[in-house]
Amino acid sequence: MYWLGIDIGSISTDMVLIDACGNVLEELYLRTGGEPVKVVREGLSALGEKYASNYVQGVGITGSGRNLGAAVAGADVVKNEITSHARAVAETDSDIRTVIEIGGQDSKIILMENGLVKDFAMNTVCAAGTGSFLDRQAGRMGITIEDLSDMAYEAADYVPIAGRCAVFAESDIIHKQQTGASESALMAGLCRALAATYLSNVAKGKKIEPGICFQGGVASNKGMRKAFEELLQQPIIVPEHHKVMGALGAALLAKDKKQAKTNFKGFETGRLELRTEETECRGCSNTCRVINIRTENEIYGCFGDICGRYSG
Amino acid sequence: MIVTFPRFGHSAEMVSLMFEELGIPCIIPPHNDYDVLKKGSQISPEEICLPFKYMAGGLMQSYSQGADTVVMVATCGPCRLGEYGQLLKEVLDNAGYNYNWIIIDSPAVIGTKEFIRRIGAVAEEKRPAKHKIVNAAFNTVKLIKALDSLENRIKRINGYVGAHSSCIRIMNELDDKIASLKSFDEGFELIRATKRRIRKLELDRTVNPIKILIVGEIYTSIEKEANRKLEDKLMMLGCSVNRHMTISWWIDNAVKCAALPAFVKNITMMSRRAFPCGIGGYAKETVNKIQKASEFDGVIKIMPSGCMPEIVTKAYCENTVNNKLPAVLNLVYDEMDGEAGYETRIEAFVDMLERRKHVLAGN
Repeated sequence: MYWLGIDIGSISTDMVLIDACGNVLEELYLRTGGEPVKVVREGLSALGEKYASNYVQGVGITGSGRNLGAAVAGADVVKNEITSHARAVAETDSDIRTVIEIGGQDSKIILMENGLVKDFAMNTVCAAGTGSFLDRQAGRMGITIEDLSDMAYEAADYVPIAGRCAVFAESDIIHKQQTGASESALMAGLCRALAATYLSNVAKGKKIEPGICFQGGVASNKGMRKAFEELLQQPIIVPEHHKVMGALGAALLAKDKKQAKTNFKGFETGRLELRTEETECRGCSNTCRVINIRTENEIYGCFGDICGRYSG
Repeated sequence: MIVTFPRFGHSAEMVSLMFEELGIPCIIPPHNDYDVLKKGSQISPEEICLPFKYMAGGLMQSYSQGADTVVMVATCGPCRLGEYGQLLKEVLDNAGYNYNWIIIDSPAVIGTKEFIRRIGAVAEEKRPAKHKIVNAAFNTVKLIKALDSLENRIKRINGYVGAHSSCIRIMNELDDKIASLKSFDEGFELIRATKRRIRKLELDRTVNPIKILIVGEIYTSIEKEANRKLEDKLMMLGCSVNRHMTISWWIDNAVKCAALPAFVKNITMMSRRAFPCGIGGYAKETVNKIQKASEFDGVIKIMPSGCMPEIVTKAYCENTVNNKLPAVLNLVYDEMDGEAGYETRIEAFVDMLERRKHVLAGN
């Protein structure tokens, strides 16, 4: 028996397959690239090569594209990212009190108590405290994000960079480059700036207690982990499946639900030609924009209606 | 003279009934939506708050339908140093909307004589009998209060009704019917009919639903469109919802402030520890309400972007969890159209409260 978790984010789409003990059998980390339906299909067909659909006992979907994902793949649990991440953390290590999660376009802090969410916060409209900040600056200097990780980790010193605003940070880096700062020190400074922005922006006013876990795509970056350790003066745990914690949490939530019959539409979905179209419902004054996922001649799934008339 | 006024929740329909009763022709601004906001933000100062943009947009629309006089009950309220109505007038004037303005400010500020003159200016042309004016005003307030308490009741029992969509449906139908009311009697009949419908709902008193209190800036609280149907979302998640800011509250507050200034001092006393002096808006009321919200599982504090008083109260809310107060979720609304971010936060907040409530209680 397997449980499938899918996390459809703005940058990456992750899939996790777990067994009855909660062990991760399979994890996929795919770039969303603005085409969530296509990526979900790709992921499903990749998993379908190794596993049979009828062994899937339940599906949990999370991430900003969760409703779309549920319409495409069929889902038993559709949950927000905070709950999913917290569920995954509670399973991995029950001693964790603070979760730092930095993804491509959003970042959050979750405070836990006895395996439950006590408080949380997410970044506001600005992207300065998120992974795209690193991505952009590294890209500008022609350094891959993997190299950045190593350079920042090994750097002996760092150059302070004003990280409050991504645009001003860029001018600051250009200035520091002109003054002859080494590349590795600059990269370490970037990581430090991101960590500091996160702490003052997202984690503002929150009490960070020991048992700190760092996850999300950015957690692969050793330089970032070092920066947080230096700023917080505490060891930081990066869990084994840090990249796919959202998907893992969704899978665990689906497992918790113990639903007798799953809504999963099967790995075969991956082979279908799907397209999306938008229609307006005239059922009431809400005039919801209902989005239909359809194959050549039938509606495969839909979402966007408030009342659940079509999707429910 | 064709009268119009800024839209402010259900009061728009009620006030138009009042004008109709008095024989004064009036135009209700359209329901707030994307187009109204787009229009309003074209002429509004960039840094101004969301409610201002909605009001400006609505008045622009009314102007194109032929309205020529704006009646605005500004009461010299706490926003923009009491010059909110004046500012709205300036902005519309500069954009070429040549309205006649009757700004009803608090008599404490403009003097009783001027107050009566301005009220009189509204009824100047038609000159309805005095008892008719009193009667119409009385009915308006009565209907607004009845509506508010009815809505409150529906939102409260929502948590106890198995199918949450039935409460939302009743609310939506109520909204639709209010828009087509012809007289006060029809209004009172609508309330009675809706009450009968509520009584037929099956309540399960054994469930212990999540109780959420909504506090924050008044216009964003009252106008559904300005808070992206926050209450509907919460009701769909099965919560019992209570909103602090209602039109009834505002009327009571305005009357009390005008009639007995001692009341203002009372408020000051209650939240003195947080705010030694007034900072504008309804910041003190927000803090007061949060301090006394122990019966609720969680508080959602909403504000439009750029609302200074509510930004200050946000700082106060940051540590509520450690002060044995309910958890507070801050939501900031602006022209942004995307809803995914709001949905995630609201859902996560309700999830958090639910899990804490039921798991910690041992269920």
